[in-house]
Amino acid sequence: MSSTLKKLYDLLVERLGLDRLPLRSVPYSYVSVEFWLGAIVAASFMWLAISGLLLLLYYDYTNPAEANRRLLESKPFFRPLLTSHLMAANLMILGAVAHFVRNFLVGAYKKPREAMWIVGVIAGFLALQAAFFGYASIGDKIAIEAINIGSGFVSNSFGEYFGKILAALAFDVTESTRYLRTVAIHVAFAVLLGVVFLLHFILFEAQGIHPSPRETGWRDEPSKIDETRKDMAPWFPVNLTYIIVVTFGVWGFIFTLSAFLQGLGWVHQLLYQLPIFEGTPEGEMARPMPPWFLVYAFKLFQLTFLYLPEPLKIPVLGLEIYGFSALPVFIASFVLPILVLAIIPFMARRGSTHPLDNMAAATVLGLLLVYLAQLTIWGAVTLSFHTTFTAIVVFITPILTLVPGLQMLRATMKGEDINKPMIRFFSLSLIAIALPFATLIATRGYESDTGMGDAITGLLGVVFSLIYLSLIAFTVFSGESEPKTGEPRQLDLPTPLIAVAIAELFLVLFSAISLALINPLANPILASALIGLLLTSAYGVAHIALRALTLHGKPLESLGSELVPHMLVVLSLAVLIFVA
Amino acid sequence: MSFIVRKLIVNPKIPGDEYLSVYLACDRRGWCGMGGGPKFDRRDFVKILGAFGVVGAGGGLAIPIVKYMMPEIPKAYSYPQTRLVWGDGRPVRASDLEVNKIYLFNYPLHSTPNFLVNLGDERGEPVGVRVKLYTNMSPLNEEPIIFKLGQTRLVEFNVPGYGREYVVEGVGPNKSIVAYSAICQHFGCPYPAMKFYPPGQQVPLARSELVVKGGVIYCTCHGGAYDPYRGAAVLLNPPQRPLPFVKLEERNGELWAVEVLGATVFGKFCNTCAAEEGELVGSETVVREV
Ligand code: FES
Repeated sequence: MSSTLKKLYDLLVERLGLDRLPLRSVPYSYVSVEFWLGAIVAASFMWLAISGLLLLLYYDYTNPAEANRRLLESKPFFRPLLTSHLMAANLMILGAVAHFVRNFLVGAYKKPREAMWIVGVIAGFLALQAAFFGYASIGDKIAIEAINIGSGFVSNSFGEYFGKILAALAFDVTESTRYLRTVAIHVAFAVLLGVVFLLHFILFEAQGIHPSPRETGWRDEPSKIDETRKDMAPWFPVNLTYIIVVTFGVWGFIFTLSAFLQGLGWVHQLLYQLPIFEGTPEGEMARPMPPWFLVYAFKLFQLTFLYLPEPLKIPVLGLEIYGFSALPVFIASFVLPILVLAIIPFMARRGSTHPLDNMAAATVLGLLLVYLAQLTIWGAVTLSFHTTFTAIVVFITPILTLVPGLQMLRATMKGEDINKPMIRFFSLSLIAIALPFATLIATRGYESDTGMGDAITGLLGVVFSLIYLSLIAFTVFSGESEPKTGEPRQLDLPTPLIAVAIAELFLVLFSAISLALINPLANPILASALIGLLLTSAYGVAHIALRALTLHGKPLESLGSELVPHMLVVLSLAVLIFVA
Repeated sequence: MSFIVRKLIVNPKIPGDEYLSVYLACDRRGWCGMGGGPKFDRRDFVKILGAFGVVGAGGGLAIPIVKYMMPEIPKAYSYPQTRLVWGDGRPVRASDLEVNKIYLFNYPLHSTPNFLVNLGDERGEPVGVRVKLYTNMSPLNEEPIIFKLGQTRLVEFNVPGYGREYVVEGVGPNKSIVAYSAICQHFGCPYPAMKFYPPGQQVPLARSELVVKGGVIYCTCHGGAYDPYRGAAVLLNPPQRPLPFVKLEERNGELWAVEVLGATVFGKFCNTCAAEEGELVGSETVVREV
């Protein structure tokens, strides 16, 4: 029996050429989530494509809000599908941020991977555009706001004449066909994103995986992995299996998290998973606010001092074109972040991939991240406009903390005298903590909740800067730890792991059967949770299968750490119990 | 030229550097990209021409695509001549309107609400309006003019600006009845986010001292403010266009809406652009108290 199976397997491998695929393989020790953050993004994108096509089957552009309302009540599994599409978008963007930050911290953006980094930045931009047109297509209260704000934004940014044309291109001028256009543009951006993703993968195949700083000791040469080294894991089956593992894990997590948040109900608008319809209790509570990843831009719109105080007048071919008042806001929210990210590879210094050896890049990226985080929280909790004075403080506090903080860390790393940098760091940080409140008192801002919000956001600037600094510090230390060697090799899986695999297989069966039996219309959240469990338990079994494949390249660790990946299954189970 | 190209494509300092050049075809001499040959020759020149051709063709498609994507602009109907009526069908007369109270009506489309106000001062005495202004202007950054009037009962004023010039003139015995679009010119926040605060009525959370005392149309979305006594000229940015003015006429003592002057109503390609005639309000429109 087993020999027949083996023969069949060998035949398959040989005929399909699976062992000769021209794809990059990676060392065994790289088969871990730290090196596969990009795969999380790709898996989320894949689910977006699948669920998006399924959603498109029933999309009704004449009145999407009404259609959604009806489908949510009458179409089995529509609600799990719709909520998973939204959650996948969230996870893709979160994953992309993690992917960016990690690759910056280990120096993977440097020569020869500049092009890959820039293509990644472009992908991020396209993802935001696709997301915008996606949520504008739902037709609910938020979508209507989105279209209003979107058309106002372009007509105020690009002059009245071009603005009107752009708004018409994006949102149509007749309401009856408006949503057909937004959904078409949504799909177009998604397809474009797919193409750019492909380019990103091709560049990966050209350069291979970035060597871990643990192996290079933070030197930027060699910038590639030596393909002849002995611990390379073959693409087939190891890499392929890991792709499957990550995909199932991500998809399962999407459904699990979405079930959990649906179970919570209305906590905050940004965490609410369903469309917000006019005339419902949620519709009453909702404010005109985009999804979380665009809240930063939404907050920038509210900084009135960013608008041009005087409109611009530009003569073009005899016509006078005017307006452009929101142009600075447009630049601040969509041009500057992209540009800053794109030039990061060119700010890098030769020699070292360490973030503390690339201070300019580390400072700029850190400030960008802190600002985005601050603006997001600020926009989520306050809905008001801001006068110059208090609001500018918000952007100063991170500079006061982050810059001396990086210098202190650098001195520590280089083993220099750190007294001076330390004193500078602590005194400037204290100023940064006090500054927002001093401004609050000086401008009598405490008389309004706006002033209080500004002060707290200023303080958050310090907090986020400290988080960024600790991230860098953590990278320094983890980079120094030597890889463990010389452990006894155990080439068989211990019984507990086998037991876990069997239990997970049982869970797969259990959730598959339950999904067939439950009434998805009466228990839509349960359906989400069950799909989550189905996928995560499949992920669990596949993960143990993967361990069987990688055992000789990646020796077993303690049972505790071997079980860590299975916490995802436990999480799904817990969420299932929570919603049931 | 060849130097620049070489600089762009390969890094000559590193022998055998394949950076980016791996993506360019090699020719029969084994020269890859532009960097291999001793000098920039005709063949290299033609390669560049080829690249420009392909990129140019791609760019050339942009205009046709935009033209194709451009939606058909709906027909611009002529402005309906519309009688203002109360909910019970009675025509609205100038004397029906209380001073400083907000009324709403839709015109020229069902989807475009407007304020109707009988403007007055703090004591409730009507104040007339005859203001010349332009479709575009820089925010005035001033107090609403109502607090500087003194004994004057008619605001006659020229607001500087550019674009098209028009005149805002009130109707009624005191020329104090005016109607403005109730959709903000900044990002389109409608009533009640944007509304009229009569003089003396405090504007909650006002962003500037200039407008806290009322006498303004204030938009809470981003703190834009307009002066209804000066034809809804912009007092505070971010908006940079006055609110469109609905021209009213008194015919046999009844109020009629006849036209919209000034900037285009926010979000509309043109004020009366509609896919079908039914989107326009027709011969009567209902005035609601709020
Ligand atoms: S929408 Fe009115 S000020 Fe922005």
